[in-house]
Amino acid sequence: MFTRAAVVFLLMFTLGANAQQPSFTLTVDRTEVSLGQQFAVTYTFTGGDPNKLSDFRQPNLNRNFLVRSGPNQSSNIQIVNGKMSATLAFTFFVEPRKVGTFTVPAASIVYNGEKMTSNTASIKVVVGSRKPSQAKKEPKIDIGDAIFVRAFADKKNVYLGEQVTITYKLYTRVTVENYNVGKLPRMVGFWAEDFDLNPRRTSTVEAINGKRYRVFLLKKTALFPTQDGRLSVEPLKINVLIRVRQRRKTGDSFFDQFFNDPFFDRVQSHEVEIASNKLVINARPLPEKNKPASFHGAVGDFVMETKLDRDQVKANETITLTVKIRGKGNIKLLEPPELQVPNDVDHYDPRVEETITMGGGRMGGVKTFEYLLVPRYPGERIISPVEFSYYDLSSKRYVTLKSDSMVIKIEKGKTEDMGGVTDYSRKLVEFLNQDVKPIRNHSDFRTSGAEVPTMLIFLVMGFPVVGAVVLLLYKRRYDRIHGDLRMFRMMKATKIANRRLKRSLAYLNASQNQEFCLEISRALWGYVQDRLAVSQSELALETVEKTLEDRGVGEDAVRAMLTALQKTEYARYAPSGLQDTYLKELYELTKEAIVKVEEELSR
Amino acid sequence: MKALVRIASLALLLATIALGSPVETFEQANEAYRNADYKHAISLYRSLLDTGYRTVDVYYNLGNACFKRGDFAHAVLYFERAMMLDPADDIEFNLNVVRSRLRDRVEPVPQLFFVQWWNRIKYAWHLGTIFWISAALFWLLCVGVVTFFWSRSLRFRRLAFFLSSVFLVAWVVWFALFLDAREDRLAHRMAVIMPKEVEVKSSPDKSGVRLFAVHEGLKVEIVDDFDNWYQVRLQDGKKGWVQQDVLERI
Repeated sequence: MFTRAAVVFLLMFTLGANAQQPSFTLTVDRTEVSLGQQFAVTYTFTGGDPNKLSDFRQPNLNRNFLVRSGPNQSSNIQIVNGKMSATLAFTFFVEPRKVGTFTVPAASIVYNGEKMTSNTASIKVVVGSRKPSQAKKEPKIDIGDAIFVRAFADKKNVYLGEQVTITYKLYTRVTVENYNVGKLPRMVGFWAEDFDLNPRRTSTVEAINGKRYRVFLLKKTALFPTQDGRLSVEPLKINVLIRVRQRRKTGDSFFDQFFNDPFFDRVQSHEVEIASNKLVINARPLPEKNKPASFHGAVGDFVMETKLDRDQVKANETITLTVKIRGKGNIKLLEPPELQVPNDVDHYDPRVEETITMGGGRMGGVKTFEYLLVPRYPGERIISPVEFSYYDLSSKRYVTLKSDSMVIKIEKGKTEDMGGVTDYSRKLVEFLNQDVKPIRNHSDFRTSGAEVPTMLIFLVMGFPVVGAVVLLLYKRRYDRIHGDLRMFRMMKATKIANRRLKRSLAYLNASQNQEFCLEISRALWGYVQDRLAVSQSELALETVEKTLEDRGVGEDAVRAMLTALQKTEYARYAPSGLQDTYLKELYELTKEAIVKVEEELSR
Repeated sequence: MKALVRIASLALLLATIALGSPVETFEQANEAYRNADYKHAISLYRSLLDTGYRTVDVYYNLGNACFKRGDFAHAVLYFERAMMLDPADDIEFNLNVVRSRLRDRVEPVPQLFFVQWWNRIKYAWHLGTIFWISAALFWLLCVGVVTFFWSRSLRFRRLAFFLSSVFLVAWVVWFALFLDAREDRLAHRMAVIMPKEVEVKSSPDKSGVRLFAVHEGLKVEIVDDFDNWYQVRLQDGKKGWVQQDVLERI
């Protein structure tokens, strides 16, 4: 296999070549490949004078393929009849990135001042079933101790929550073109936080076993064990693109001798995958002895500040209690300290904010918890000291930080904005500090239960019904014997009296004085008899007077009635004809007496 | 057969002697309570309940003892049962003392003033009192009706008619109230959550979605049951399903 050097060699001989028609073509060694399988892409120039070749423009193969090596040049020169014909090939070994059909792009070269562009080729990539032929095709590079990655832990035995710093370093004696961290190690049983590294990959120099290595810092991670036991940190894998110089070996001693110069060395890029060593961290649980109740796994070195934004509020207004914990340690794992707040002060889950700093190789920062407090009732309330405990690694003991107790003065707030507080819960608050009332000393064990039997309901409700029915039945019987007629007469009395008066008026107009007197007497006495329910046998002026007075009829009406009665009697038994005017007056008197009495009786 | 009856009655007699009189047991329990031996007091009060002496005073004292031991769920249960038997101020006070210490504070849904009065009387008055008031109103109604038919005076009749209609309306309301209260006490629809914390589910099975949690001592209303689940309603109207064994009916 010839190299680029061969071209130079050919140029040096300046052989005039009568080239055949020059061509520049692309060939691929197969049209279908499977994933992970390499194939060769060759751009070949044939014919013509190699002297006149220049400016080979490499195609961008990297978009769809992974260039494993190349370009590798080879040339073949034929001199036939003093005419030189050269074949120059650029070969790339590439690997597909994904399944599909792709186009291998064209390359160009300038021959005799003229730009020649190759054809393109298409290649089909299928899911691989065949074994990748990488090992066969690519010249295996034995990297040996030329390049390796090492993981370091600053300590191997730690407490739960104690920081372990893991550093990954790349050691190399070859030229590293590029590297990228391929597979991030999975951290099981840890909480991990990466340190920010200098984005410019600067290297240092270290000597190991007398060999000089350039050292790149790949990654620096702070680990905090979250469970105890032997925890392993899986290896970090990285892909490194290295540049390897290979001396050409033609087997031809003349060429070897001639070209045994770095200038003619072939330089190839190779991608290698290397993994770091595996680390094992031993995490111990924290001592149980003297573990405070307020300890929730904080390890390190902290200080705490508490602050109330104000200590005088109106009821139902909010106060903010800020608890700030600052220091070095597993700050991200800090849990909010528990507040001891009186029951009638509402408090909510805190708002948490954290700022992480990785200064000095140890993780630290500030974590702020903001608690919202809403006192509901006026008075003075005490917030018990806020407690926060951590395990101090340097003194190997627990430290409890305690704030002062805080007093809030609550003034009466507006009653309108008792937001959500109802009478019910306000009422209950009054019972908060009360004890139960004393027990009862006696009990009546003869009775039991508060049930009202159905039987009792029917009895109690039934009795008055039965009573009422009996009474009403009795009343009906009584009325049938005595009362009906009286009632009837009473109601009819006025009507009958009225009718008789009308008839008497007719007699008066007809000058039938005798009949008039009889009728008016009937009207009056009949009315008195019926209306006052006086029996005929009792009818006398005195009885009428007494009955009327008994029934609460006024004196005036009684006298009018009596006068009317007297005059009627007189008129009835008068010996001879009375004057018309007297009779007329009697009619009016009678009518008036009945009206008056009726008015008073029915009032 | 005769022998069997004789043996049974003998056993009953012996048992009665062994138990001592309820008054004695009650006083022993009270003594234990005063000496702060609440555990012993509780077992004595419970033995009284078990033998059928379920008086309001036993429930009340037992509630007190449970409260002193910090068993709020049972304290609520027994105070509520005492309230059912004979509501009294001291029971209500103690019930509020326990409630103020419960984790759940369920705000009752605001109700019409009429409904509030209704529930207040239904819950805080002795069932017998409610009954005798409705009985008295009924008697008055009957008297009014009889007066109406008996009276001859128009004025009297008018008055009787007016009063009768007032008594009729009042009686209907009170009697309905009484029947409601009686049904309430017989049906035991209210219950108390016994465990420290219970998850309330959206459906009556274990895989149901968790709606919210309730804690010991909360009073809930049972509205439905299915398998060994109850659908309960909180005072604020929230509903959900819990397993039957977490509840103790009042």
